[in-house]
Amino acid sequence: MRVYRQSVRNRFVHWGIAFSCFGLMATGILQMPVAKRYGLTQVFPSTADFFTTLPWHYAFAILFTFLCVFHLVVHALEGDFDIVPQKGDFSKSVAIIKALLTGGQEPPSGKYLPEQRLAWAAFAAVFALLIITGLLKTLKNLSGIDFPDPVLFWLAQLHNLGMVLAILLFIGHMAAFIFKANRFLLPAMFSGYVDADYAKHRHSLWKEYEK
Amino acid sequence: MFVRGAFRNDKPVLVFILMWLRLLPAVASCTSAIFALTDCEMDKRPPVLKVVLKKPFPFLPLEQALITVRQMAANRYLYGVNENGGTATWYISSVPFEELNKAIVENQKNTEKAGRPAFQAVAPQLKESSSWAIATLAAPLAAAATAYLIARRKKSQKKEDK
Repeated sequence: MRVYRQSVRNRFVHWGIAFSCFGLMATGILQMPVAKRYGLTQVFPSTADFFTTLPWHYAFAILFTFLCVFHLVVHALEGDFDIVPQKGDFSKSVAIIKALLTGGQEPPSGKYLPEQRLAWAAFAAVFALLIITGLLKTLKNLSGIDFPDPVLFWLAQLHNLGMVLAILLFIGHMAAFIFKANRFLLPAMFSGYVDADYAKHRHSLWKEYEK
Repeated sequence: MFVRGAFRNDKPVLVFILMWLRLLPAVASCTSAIFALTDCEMDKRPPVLKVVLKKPFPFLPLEQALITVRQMAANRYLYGVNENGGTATWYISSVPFEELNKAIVENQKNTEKAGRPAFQAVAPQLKESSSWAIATLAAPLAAAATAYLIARRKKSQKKEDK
């Protein structure tokens, strides 16, 4: 028995954000520039050309920004706030991780685990930082628009900080699957379904498995 | 005369380097007139330039440096304020760059140097990706509009089902 957990739309948004995020990291790093220094130009000569990688960065940014804003707005309009952090999520997350390490009893969870909600909030904050600073940097690239030098300096610093934080969050996202219990959630992002017994056992407050 | 601005510790500073017009033939012999000072080996630099480069550079805030440069330019031609944006490199010349460019292009004709960068105006390359930039700026609005339409459609479908 399986339970439907992630809609096609959710999966498309998830993988679209993941794909564009990696594209942005790659094209953003190339603009630093590092391609020539590390010999990448010997294979792909255009990787060292800022004016070649910039449209690529824009293309990934269009997809990334579109999906992030779409995700926030559509769920807000539909009144779907399952993934938004709730009061007590931090202490519940500690209890769950403690239970995972010691083999103890986990507190009951809804559709999402408390640490999933916190991780979502962390990603949302970092992505918001990247999108806001990125859009301002884009605006500055238009002819006739300029910002004072300190503003440009801090936009670049915060945009770079956002990228580093996004990489760290991705590592944390992957590290969650070190715990065997969390691996049952993986199929949801591919087929959309999770095991019904798993849902009943671990997400007892989410009544979807009863349908 | 050649004036170059620079940045140090996030504070804009200005480096003054003087170059008399009579040095131009020497400068033009370098790979590019604009980057002549960095491209030329020290021993290949004109003697006057070697002396000038050894002098201490005054450091000024960018805005103040621009005022000074405008004063220095007086009735001469000033380039780099509206051209070559972002490099904070300004050029003061008694001869318009257009005329200098003509002479350099003429000299380069039928030589291996033909077509090399000289003093011609170059369109800002960032303009080439303006459409991409505008599309990126429009992405949040397009996303919000799409989300609204989908949510409204879903809502009306739910009403119909009831």
